[in-house]
Amino acid sequence: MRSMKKLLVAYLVVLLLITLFNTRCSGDKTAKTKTADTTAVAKPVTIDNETMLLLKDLADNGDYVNSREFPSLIKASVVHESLGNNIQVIDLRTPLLYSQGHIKGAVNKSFEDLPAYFESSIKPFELDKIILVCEDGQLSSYAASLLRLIGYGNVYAMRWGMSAWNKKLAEAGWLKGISGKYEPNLEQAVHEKPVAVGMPELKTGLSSGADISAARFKSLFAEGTGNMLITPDEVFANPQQYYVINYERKDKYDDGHIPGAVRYKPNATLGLTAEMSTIPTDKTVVVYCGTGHNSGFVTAYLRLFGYDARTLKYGNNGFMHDKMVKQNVALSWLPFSSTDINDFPVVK
Amino acid sequence: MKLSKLSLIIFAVALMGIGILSCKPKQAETQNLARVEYYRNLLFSETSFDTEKGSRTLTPEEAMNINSYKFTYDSLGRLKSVEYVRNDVLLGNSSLREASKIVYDYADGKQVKRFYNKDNQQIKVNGGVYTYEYALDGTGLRTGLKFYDSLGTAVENRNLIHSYTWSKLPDGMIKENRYNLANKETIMSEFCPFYELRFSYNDKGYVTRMANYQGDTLYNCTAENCGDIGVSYFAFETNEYGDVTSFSVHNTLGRLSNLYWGWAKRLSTVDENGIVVETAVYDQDDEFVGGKMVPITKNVYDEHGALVQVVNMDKDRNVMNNPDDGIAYTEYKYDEQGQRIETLNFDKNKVAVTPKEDM
Repeated sequence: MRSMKKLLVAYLVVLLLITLFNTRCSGDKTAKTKTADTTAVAKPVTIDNETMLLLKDLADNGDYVNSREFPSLIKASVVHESLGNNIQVIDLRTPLLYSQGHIKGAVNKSFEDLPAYFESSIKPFELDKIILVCEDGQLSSYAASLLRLIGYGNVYAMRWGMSAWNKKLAEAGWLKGISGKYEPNLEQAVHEKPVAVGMPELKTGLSSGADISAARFKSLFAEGTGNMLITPDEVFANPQQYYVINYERKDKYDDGHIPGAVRYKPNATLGLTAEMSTIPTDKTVVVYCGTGHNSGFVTAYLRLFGYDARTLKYGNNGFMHDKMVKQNVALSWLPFSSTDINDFPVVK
Repeated sequence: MKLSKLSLIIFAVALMGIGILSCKPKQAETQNLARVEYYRNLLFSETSFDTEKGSRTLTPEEAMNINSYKFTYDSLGRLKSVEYVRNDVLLGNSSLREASKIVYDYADGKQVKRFYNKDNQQIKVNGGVYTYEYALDGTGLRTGLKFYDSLGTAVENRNLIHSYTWSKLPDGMIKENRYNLANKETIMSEFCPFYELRFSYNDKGYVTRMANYQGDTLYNCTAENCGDIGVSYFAFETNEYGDVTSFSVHNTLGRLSNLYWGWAKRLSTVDENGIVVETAVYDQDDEFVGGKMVPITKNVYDEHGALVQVVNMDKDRNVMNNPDDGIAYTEYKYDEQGQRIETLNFDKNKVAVTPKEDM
């Protein structure tokens, strides 16, 4: 009888253990199923054939946006040291600003004139470096990105633009643009990327990657840069109106970003359909980074693929400069400061 | 008199005998310093200051069947050569970078290093350097290095460095400076534009940190494309055998910072033989690298310790094609001696892939 009781207890214990084990296992299965369900909801995205051809063409031609050369920025001090060498400086500012003072040897060209200038006026591949300069470095970043994507592997944008050349120019540029105006509006909530919806259709009607690429570049240069930049005032007036991309380190995003902004990882976004197809095609896309340089390069790539993308003028510096200065040591922000301004001469 | 002469002879012979006997142990001691040692692996090094060191000892019998590093020391206990061998046959694809064998010669406070391929022919390494000439101090510590070509002419290596100087600081750190042929101080490489470096070692002699110094302070190098928040030091973690299990890159405040190549941390899993079986790569957000990079690679070895397969995996350890070249599996084939004879590449569906450089 005693042994029967013992057997019964042992049986119950084993039964309990099996039940507990099964409960845990089924719990796991449910979680996995849920994940699988979530994945199933995200329907496979079809990418338009022209887009795929363009992606392949760019990847086959060096995949610039995923190379170590991206973004191709150069410091004013390096440009100054290189003057007199086998370089060409191209000044993209207005003829008036150019005439008031420019880097010695620089030629004045508009953004729209760049393709013709590269094709007919210079031998780009015989130069060591071609340096684009503008007022604040953002337009030149955008232009340098496009030229690099075309295949000009020696083109650079000068960081901070002419503001880095001397104080007088900085006073009209970056020193005027930096602001802490929207620091109280920052938020820290993390926003996940939306479900992939695909990428814009290019509709060039062409069937080779090279032709599509050429048509898109031609179109972008013809469009000009009128709507390439967007100001912090415009964005903060109604952030929900835009799809805001934060293109920064995670810790910087976590510390405070534009309301609703979604972080896209530098080095792991461009050229990847899985990432790019999460960017809405029916909204204006605002890209921002610390200074507006990297975002200028990114904006060029997104616009090449048909997104209505803009670069936020001055990046974080345009709306949270004070915070950047305060946390410069802790978070290694890149606030524009007097140390970025040189004392180099201009010629008229 | 005769007796005293005889006594003198006996005494002299006895003295000689004592002398000979007393010499014997000394000769034996000297001979004991000449030796051969076999190791499975070479210890990681980030500077030419380090002399080659082995990890995971093998017996000569084991080394007949396992790829190993054969260390030969001369009668004074000085390292004479390191050879990557199996069954005493030189093998290619060693961790001695481009060489299968290195040989050291010593003279007048100098240590000269030469490099040989698997066919035992002297070769140039490091962008055209034929000989490394180290300067040694009285204790045998390396204090400098100069590069020469086959004619004995001073040359620069691929990073435009001609010479190094090293000194041991009072706190035990090793200070390293580099110079070009014009004797101008120069950087480590175009991708790591650091001038003065300071290396820290733990009590076992394993490197723990390579710090970027300027004016005796940690220095954030923020050259274009070299860490957007700056690179100040590399930190290394090792296990008890000296196998590096973590290699991370930081700014002055210790925050992870991407190197030029887009990663900030590499974690290695080593097996019981100290062989790296998996490497996980992270970026400066302390997240697995993404984009065109491979987050995890798994290495498979054969019974000889030779690498036979490299598998690319995503962060969830699913086999993935390298976004850059479409390769998921790389397989290596060897002949009976252990020489690599074939490299095969496949995508994740095991379909053969031709690497870009072969196209």
